This record gives sequence, C-alpha cells and structure tokens, in this order.
Amino acid sequence: MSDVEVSGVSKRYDDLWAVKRVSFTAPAGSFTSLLGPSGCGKTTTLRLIAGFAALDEGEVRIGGKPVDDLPPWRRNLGVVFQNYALFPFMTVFDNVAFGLRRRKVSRSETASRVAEAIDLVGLPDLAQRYPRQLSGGQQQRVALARALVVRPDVLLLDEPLSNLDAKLRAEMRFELKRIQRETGVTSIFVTHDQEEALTLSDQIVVMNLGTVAGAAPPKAIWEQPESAYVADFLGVENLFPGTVGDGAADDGTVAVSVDDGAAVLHVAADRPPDGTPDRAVVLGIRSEEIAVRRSDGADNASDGPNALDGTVREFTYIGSAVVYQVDCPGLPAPLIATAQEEFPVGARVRLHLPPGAIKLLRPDAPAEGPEDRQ
Amino acid sequence: MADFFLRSGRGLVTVMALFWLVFLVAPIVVTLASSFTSSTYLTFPPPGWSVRWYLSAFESEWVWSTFWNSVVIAVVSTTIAVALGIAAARVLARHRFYGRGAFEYAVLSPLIIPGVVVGFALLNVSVLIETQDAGLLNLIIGHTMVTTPFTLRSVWSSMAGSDISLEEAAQSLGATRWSAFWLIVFPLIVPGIVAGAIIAFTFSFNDVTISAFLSAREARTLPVELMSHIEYLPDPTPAAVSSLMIVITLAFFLLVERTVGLGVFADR
Ligand SMILES: Nc1ncnc2c1ncn2[C@@H]1O[C@H](COP(=O)(O)OP(=O)(O)OP(=O)(O)O)[C@@H](O)[C@H]1O
Ligand SMILES: [Mg+2]
Repeated sequence: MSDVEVSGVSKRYDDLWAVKRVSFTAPAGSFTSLLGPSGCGKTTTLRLIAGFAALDEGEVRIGGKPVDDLPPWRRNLGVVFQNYALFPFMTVFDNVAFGLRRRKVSRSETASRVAEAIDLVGLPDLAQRYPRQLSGGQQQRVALARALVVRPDVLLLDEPLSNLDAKLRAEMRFELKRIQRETGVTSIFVTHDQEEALTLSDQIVVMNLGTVAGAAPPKAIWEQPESAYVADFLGVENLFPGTVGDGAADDGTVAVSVDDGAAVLHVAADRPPDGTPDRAVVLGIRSEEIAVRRSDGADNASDGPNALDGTVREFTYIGSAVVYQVDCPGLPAPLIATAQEEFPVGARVRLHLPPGAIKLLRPDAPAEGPEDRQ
Repeated sequence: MADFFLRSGRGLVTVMALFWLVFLVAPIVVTLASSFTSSTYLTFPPPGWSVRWYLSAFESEWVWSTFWNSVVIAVVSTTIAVALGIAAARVLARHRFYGRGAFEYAVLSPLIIPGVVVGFALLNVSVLIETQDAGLLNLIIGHTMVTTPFTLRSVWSSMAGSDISLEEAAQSLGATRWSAFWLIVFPLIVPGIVAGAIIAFTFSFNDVTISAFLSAREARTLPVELMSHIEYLPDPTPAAVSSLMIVITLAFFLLVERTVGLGVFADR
C-alpha cells in the first residue's frame, strides 16, 4: 500500500483553473473522499492523480515517489469510473483479466486471480456474460473487480455509486467499505454526497471552486467544520453572519450579535473562532439540535439563553420527524428546525438553540469567488 | 391528423418504392437481360439467349488490363482513405482545437463539390506539377481525396460510442496508448470502418467523372474504358462487362458483410 501526496496541484483548461493549488495527503491504506459540488474540480483532481491529464503546477507522489513523468499505464492504479467503462465486447472474465494480461500474468494465475476478485466483490457466477447483460449493481462490481485484480497501489473511484438507485447505493456503500477493509487499498473516492463521504471515509477533503476548502476526519468535520462553506456542504441548515462581542459571560458563553444586533445569541466559548478577522463569524446550527415547543406567550428570559419566539412558516413531514421553517424576528432568514411534535402553519413556537450546539465558523474569504478561477 | 400523416406517409413510401423500381432496378434488369443476347447488337427483349458476349469480355485485353487497374486503385485508395479517416475521426472526436469547424468543412468539402470540378481541379494541379502522365498515382490520390470524407464520417460516428473513459480504463490497467487503441477502440469502430470502406471501394471502383480527367493513356479504369467502348462499339460486350461489375460490387458487399461485418455485430 502506498500513500498519495498531492501538493500544490493546478490544472488549467482554456480560460479557467479546473483545480488550483490543491494539496492533501491520503495516508497508506486510508479511505479519502473528495467532496464538493458539481464542477469544483473533483474529477480533474482524480484524473491528475491517474495521469490522464498533465498537471500545470505542483506534484503528485505515490508511495513517496513523484509520478508526474509516468504515464497512466505505469502508475499501477485502479480506477473505477462513474459510467463503469466496462469493455462492451468482452465478457466479465475478459474485462477483469484485462489488467493481468497486460502484465503478462500466466494463464492459470490469471484464472485464479480473476475468480478471487469476482469473489471478493460478491459477484455471482457471471463470468461469461457481457456487460450489457448485467444490472447496474453487477456492472459496478465488475468495474471494482477489474480495478482491484491488479493489486493497485491506489484505488481511485469517481462517483461510482451515483448511477445506482437509492437502495442499491446504500447496499454498495457497505460493500465498498468491506472491500476496502479487506484489501486495505489506499482509496480516493469522489462524491458530491455528504452522507457517502461521512460513512465511508477516514478523511474528507471538501473542495470548492477548484480549491481545498477543508480536510478532516468525518467526525471532526461534522462537529467543527473549518468554514461556513464546509458547514453548508455538510448539511448545516442554519447559517447566519454575526459579530462576536467582548469577553466571556459568567456562564462561559460569548454573545454574538446577528444582523447588527437585531438578535443576540450566546455561544459556548470553548469554540474559539480562529482565523476570523474583525470578529466577523458565521453562526451555524443543525436543524435537529434546535428544540421546538409550543410558545406559551410568556417572557422567554426564564428559558435561559437563546430562546426565540417564532411563527411556523412551512413544514414538511420526513417520516422520522417534521422539518419546520420558522420565522424569528431578528434573524435574516427563517430557522430550519426538526421536531417530533406537529404544529400547523402559523403556530407560535418557541425555539431553543443550545449554546453548545452553535458553531462559530470562519466566513469564507471573498477571494474564493469565481473570478479568481480565471 | 397524425393518422392523415401516417396514411399519406405510407402512400409516399409506396410511390418512392415504385420510382425506385422503375428508374433504378428496371434499367439494371434490362442491362442484365440484354447482356445475354444472341444478337450482335443491343436490344431488349433479346431475340435469343447466349453467353457469347461474356466470353468476348473475358477474351478482351482492354477489359482485363483496366479491370486490374481499377482493382489496384480501389484497394489502395480505400486503404489510405480508411487510415486517414481513422486518424482524422480520432482527432475530431478527442480534441478541441482552434479552427476545428473549418477543418470539418475542409475535410467534408469533396462531398459538396461536384465530381467534375474535383476532377478538373486535380487534373490542373497534376499538369502544373507535371505528374499528368503518372495516371495510376493521380487516380489513387484523386479517389483517396474524394472517398476520405466518407470513411471519416462513418468512423467518426462509430467513435461516438467509444467513450474516452474506456481508453482511460485500459490505460490505467496497464495498456499503453497504442494498445489501448488497438484493443479497445479499434474493435468498437470496426463497423464504421467496414461501412466506410464499402462506400469508398464501390465509389472508387465505379467512378467515371473524376477518373475520366485523371486517366492517362496507359492507366485507365474499367468504368472509363467502358464508357468509351459504349460510345464507339455498338456490340453488347460493354453490357456484359457492366453486368459483371454489378456482380463484383455485390459480391464485395456480401464478402465484407460475412467476414468482418456480421462477426462484429453478432453477440454485442
Ligand atoms: N477537458 C476539459 N476541458 C475544458 N474544461 C474542463 C475539462 N474538464 C473539466 N473542465 C472544467 O473544469 C471544471 C472542473 O471539472 P470537474 O470535472 O473536475 O468537476 P467535478 O467536480 O468532477 O464535477 P462533477 O461533480 O459535475 O463531476 C469544470 O468547470 C469543467 O467544466
Ligand atoms: Mg466529476
């Protein structure tokens, strides 16, 4: 197994930087996800690692060795493509055997290693079928077997689950995790699905407009995203710009004013907003951390800090809970909150935002705008 | 309304089929039939049947020499046209470059410009560079120029089915650029190559317009020679040769279909 070091890698297409000074390290045997919205440069990064495109700046090292002078066929990688890219006129067996034949592996060893790989990915006995005779999930497994059979140093996967239906996707997620654990292959996985990234990864690299916006293990990135952008992409529904007040209060919280003091929220001060100039921060809280109950109209001071009265604007039932949009005076946008209880549209509710659940986030540098990509 | 179009559409197809029968198939049948005449002049229906004009064709020196010229020219120009077509289609399918649109037009222009103009232009060029006596070479060049757009077109459209990721997959598995092409792309575009080659070969083998300009004295193609014989000889030998050409072209079609064509389409 080898680690992958991507340092300061850039790639320019015509008039835009598809990726710009991207750096991250995928430790040997780890599972790293590249997460980001469409067009942020995930595929390009993967293609640069694979050698399908030449990089304009920076360096890629695999197992400590720079690979920039090596063509794709000498990098010993496995690649799984979004559309699987199975060879249509070859049987499953020939597809999987392709890499072994290029490596001049003996006939008998090829047969046994192909069988082993087909077994590893949990394919039933379909070796003599053609790709078009397989279901999407089966094609997916063939693509994995084909990439793994050559015992690659690194496995690159470009949104391999995105063409599957929801149920199969959830199933393949477990399969992918099992296969990666059994083979221990260093894996770099591209996705725009935060759930996939969170469930599969040892490390998540969040990308934005061709750059890395943050990189951390799933738990860390979930609990304390590096910036407002990362939080937004990881599904923090409520994000408000705010300004941190002076000093900590007696109860160990700091006061943060939202919208020029129209509302003040108290935030547990053990979350230092580092790298935030002018005390400008973004407040973030997940919908499920907000408690919702019927408002009794009484003064909310007795409820401790961060009790806000609001009006239900809209709700959606999601099976396990109800998601509410609540208009609160003083906040620039409605709060998104989830609750078990049902309230009708127009109901007066009281929201409670626990100081420990509010994240103080670094606002995104304005320099990361699209014009910077030209 | 849709029904009306459907009905009139069917009517239209019937009419077109009739036209096709009357104007294309009927003359061929007439030619074929009259080539078996026993008389010394062309007439339909023949007063009696014989194969004497076929024997006459096989015994004629001009038939054989120009036949071999035509075969050589068709085989060589088709081969070159296919190779150029693959190369150009690959460039068009894989790369975006400045002037791509212009390149597309340039390479397809022989489809738009009339054969007479192409032939005349090529003749002028060959006179200019004093190669007008190298008849065979001129014919090969001329036919290649005119048939390459056909091979390019059909290879290009068959490349649409071979996604770049197939080649990249092959490369990541250890295939060099070259072997990725031969092992993965080539098998996928064989149908396009076969179709293009059939069109190029039949065009070259049957062309009169361009070849008439480029045929030097010692390098004439069968159709060009046939034309002048039809003009000057009233006997039915040219009819027999024409019939043979139809048979050869058909046989070529079937041969290619059976050997390469069908094998590729099967089990896909
Ligand atoms: N071959 C190319 N030529 C020109 N521009 C390209 C090329 N490949 C990618 N780009 C551009 O580079 C940017 C990044 O593309 P990339 O495919 O890496 O995005 P992505 O993050 O994989 O997106 P998606 O989630 O939609 O697959 C896009 O703006 C894209 O248009
Ligand atoms: Mg992509």
